[in-house]
Amino acid sequence: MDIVMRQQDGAVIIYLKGRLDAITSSQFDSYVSTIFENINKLVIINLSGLEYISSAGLRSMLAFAKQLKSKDAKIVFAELKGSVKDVFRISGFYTIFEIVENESDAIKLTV
Amino acid sequence: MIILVIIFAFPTISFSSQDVTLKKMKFVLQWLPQGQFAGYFVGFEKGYYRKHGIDLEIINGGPDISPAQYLKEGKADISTMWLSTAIQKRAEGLNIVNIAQMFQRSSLLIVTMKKSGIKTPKDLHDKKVSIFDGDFAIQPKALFRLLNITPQLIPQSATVNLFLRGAVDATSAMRYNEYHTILSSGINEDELTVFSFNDYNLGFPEDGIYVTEGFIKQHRDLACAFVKASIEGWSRAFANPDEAVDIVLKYMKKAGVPANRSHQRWMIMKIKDVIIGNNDTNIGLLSKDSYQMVINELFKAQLIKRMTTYEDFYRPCK
Amino acid sequence: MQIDFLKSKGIAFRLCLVFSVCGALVFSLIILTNYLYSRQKTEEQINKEVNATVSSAINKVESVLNAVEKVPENLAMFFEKNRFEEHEIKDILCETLKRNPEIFGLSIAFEPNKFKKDRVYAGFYCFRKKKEIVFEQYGSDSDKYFYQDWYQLAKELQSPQWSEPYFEEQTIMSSYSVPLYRNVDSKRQLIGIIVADISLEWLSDIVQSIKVFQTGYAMLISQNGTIVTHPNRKLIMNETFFSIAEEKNDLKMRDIGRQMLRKDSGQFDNADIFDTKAHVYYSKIPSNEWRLIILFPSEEMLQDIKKLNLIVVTLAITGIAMLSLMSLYVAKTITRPLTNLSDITEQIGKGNLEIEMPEIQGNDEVARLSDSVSKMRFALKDYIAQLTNATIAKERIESELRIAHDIQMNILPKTFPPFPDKAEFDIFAMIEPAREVGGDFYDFYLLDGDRVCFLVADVSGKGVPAALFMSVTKTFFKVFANNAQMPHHLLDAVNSELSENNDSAMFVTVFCGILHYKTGELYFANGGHLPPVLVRKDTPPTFIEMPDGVVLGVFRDYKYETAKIRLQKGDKLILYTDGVTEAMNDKNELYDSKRLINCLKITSHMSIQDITKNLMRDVRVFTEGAPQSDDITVLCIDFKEQ
Repeated sequence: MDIVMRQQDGAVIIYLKGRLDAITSSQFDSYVSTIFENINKLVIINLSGLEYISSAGLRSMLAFAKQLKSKDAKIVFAELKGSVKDVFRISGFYTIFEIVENESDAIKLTV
Repeated sequence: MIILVIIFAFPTISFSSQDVTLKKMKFVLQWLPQGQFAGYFVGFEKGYYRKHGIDLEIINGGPDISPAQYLKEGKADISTMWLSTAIQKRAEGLNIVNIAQMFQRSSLLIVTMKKSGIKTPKDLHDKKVSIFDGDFAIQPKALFRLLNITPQLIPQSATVNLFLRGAVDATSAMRYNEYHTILSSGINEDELTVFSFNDYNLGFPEDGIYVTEGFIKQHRDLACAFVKASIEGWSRAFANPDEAVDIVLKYMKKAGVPANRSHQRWMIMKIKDVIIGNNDTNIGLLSKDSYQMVINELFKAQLIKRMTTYEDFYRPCK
Repeated sequence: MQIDFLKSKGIAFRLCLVFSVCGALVFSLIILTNYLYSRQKTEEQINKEVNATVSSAINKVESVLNAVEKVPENLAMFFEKNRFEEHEIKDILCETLKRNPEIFGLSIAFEPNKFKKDRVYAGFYCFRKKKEIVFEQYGSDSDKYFYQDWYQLAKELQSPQWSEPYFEEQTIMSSYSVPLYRNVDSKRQLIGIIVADISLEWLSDIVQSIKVFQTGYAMLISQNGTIVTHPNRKLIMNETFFSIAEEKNDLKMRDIGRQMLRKDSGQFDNADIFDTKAHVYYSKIPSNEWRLIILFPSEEMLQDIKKLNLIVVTLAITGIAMLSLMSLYVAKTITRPLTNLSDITEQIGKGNLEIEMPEIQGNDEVARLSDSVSKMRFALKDYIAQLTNATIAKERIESELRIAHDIQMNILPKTFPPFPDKAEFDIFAMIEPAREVGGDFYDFYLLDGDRVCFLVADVSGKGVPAALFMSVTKTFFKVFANNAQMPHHLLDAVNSELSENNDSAMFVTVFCGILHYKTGELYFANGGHLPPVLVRKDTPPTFIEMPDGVVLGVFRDYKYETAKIRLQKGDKLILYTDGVTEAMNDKNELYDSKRLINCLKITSHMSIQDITKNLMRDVRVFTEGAPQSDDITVLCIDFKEQ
């Protein structure tokens, strides 16, 4: 799995590409812990490149979201596709997370 | 079995020849020992004369020895001589007869260097030509007369040194002797032009075997035995030239004459040509034509005043 | 093949071979160069020596010959001017002879009638007989001296001439003839020849005394090629250079002879004349144009070079041998420790870590390698110790996990049909655990009021944490089920409990249903789980509509909802976990919901046992031996037709 990060307008945007499963989720966990310091107000997770997410992946997202909560930062998921979108809907993440169609919509939320 | 017969046969023959009472005979050569007389030396060495009942003594010739004189004075019973010499002696009144003409052709040559530009005998006109004295001069003079040319004649000693040093343009040479001396001085055959008298109807037969008329009347068998043994000697010499050369060298050394093998071998091989020629059935034959040719030339040259008939002069055996 | 052979031979052998071959090459070059150089030098030296010898010998000969030549030449001048009587001639000849000891005889021979008008032969000769000087007159009809070579040559060539050598009383002689001219009637006329005879013994001595090194010798040939002097006396005066060549049938030798007589001087290398290969040098004696020839057998020349070469070759072989031995020694000092190390590492490879390390002195590559091997041995020892410990620990954990897994499976209901006395419905479930301890579970309980509660849950993650979380969740469900009126009450309660102190953000998805098995009314709530499939007669299998609901254990105050459908007799509801839809084959394809529906379509008429087993088999066939990464759980409930 590839993880790419960029910062824009005070928001940290993380791009995930490939599969987020039991093995790669630990990669994600360690990645976000290294960038945790850089996070200010908003994290946008762009899932346009993500092909698959397992329950372990969801757990990583939840754990990350929890950490952000302690920092009073917000997490937004953007550009969900296919099975990932299904998993988010089924698991009820739609009801508890902010989920937007486009990355640009998410950035507006910083204001 | 055959080997045994041969081993036993040989002593038998030699013993039987010993038993015959041998007749003494003195044989004088016309020159110092050399390959020219190989047949006689070989015959002597191999016991052919004894086999034919002759106890032979060979007397070497030389510049001071005239065989005709020896025969005349009874110092020798038999000798070799040139036909032309013998005819002259006979004309002078010495009653000698030819019992075998061993050398049937002439070995006398006139030799020039190719580079002298002399291509035919006619080109010898006005040239310096060294020729042997005496009977050797008969043929050249006859030829020059015939061709109507007048070369400048230089008397020639026994050597060809005048020619080799370029003091003369042409020289006479015996094919079996001086011609080889020229070659042995480092001149190649292809550098020479050679005129043979055989090619100009002047091929005088040379060495023959002579006895006096008196001897042949009394000892015809002995004379014929000598001829037989001599022919056997020559045949053996031609068949075994190496052995013949060894024998000749032995006699030359005895006589203190400078000698070398190659020269003597050459001599024997060249003499084979004039003794046997193309046809070995006529060994020792003096043809009437040859005799007539020689006697005519001698008469023309005014060397003889009377002519002996062929039948009187030539008394072959058988 | 060859390289393989070399490779198989070891470093020491290869090193030794390479050094030996290189050494041999270098030495060969040296030997060749040395040979060529020494040969050239030797030849140069010999040429120099021979040329010096030749010119000194020729000078010696010339000085004698020139002195001899002067005598008849002076006499000729003397006789040209004056006429003498017999007794005067005798005095002149004999006196002159007395004063010239190198001359054997002096003679004057006149042309016919030139001494006296009426005298044809007039030859006067004064010569040495033993110690006396004797005078003689010669010439007669039988002794025509003017036909002799010494006379004719000078006469015909009109110049002084040296004769060819001749024998006189066992002595080799040669004569110098000078033509004597006088002007008669103002015409230059040949009067006679003055001749000096000399013995050539002294000449032989000079020539025979010439020695070039050990075996080189000299010889003399006349203008005609006659051998005048030669170590082999038999050849002298008997043979000419050309008769020897003819006897040997050697045209090359003949050619050499011809060249010698044509040129003044020269040299032939390796000419095979006189029965030995020799370097042949020749030079003309100017006076009589004879040739002095020096033969230097090639063998002697080569002998020195051969000797020198033998020494060099011996040195080279010794050198190569020493080089080989030394390279072998050096190579061995390198490879011996390497061989030892190789043995040791082999032992280590076999597991013998206690092997003794050899002491290696110095700080070269081998010592460092040895050090590394030693370090590696200790590291391996440590590692193996750690590994052993880790393996023990891991084995313990694994065995504990196995036990945990067994326990986990055991706490799931396994008896089917679970409620044989209830004719209205039946439940069948199967779980195919992944290799590790998983987080799936199912459960069902009878509630009061003719109700049955059933659920399928999937704890996020795997391993021990998931297993523990699962046990806790299952227990909570069981505890709260009896008091729950509706499914969402149950979910609310369990979620609330699970969310307490859940820092690791573990969660569980749950589908929970309560069926009124008398009426067919089904109430159900969803905690982020996959929608069950309803299999109804004469209708394609469909996913049932579910209310929203987030996974349990994360959001403490989340309010779940309950939905309701009415089952008809014969309806079957199939619950499952994502182990089914996310089963993956080796092409990374998911089993997904489409295949699920298709499979159920085919098996819809079957019993719930067969539907479950078929579905499980279909998933297994799909994954085709790819490792199973997640628990696969299927639970079917059948609202029986009766």
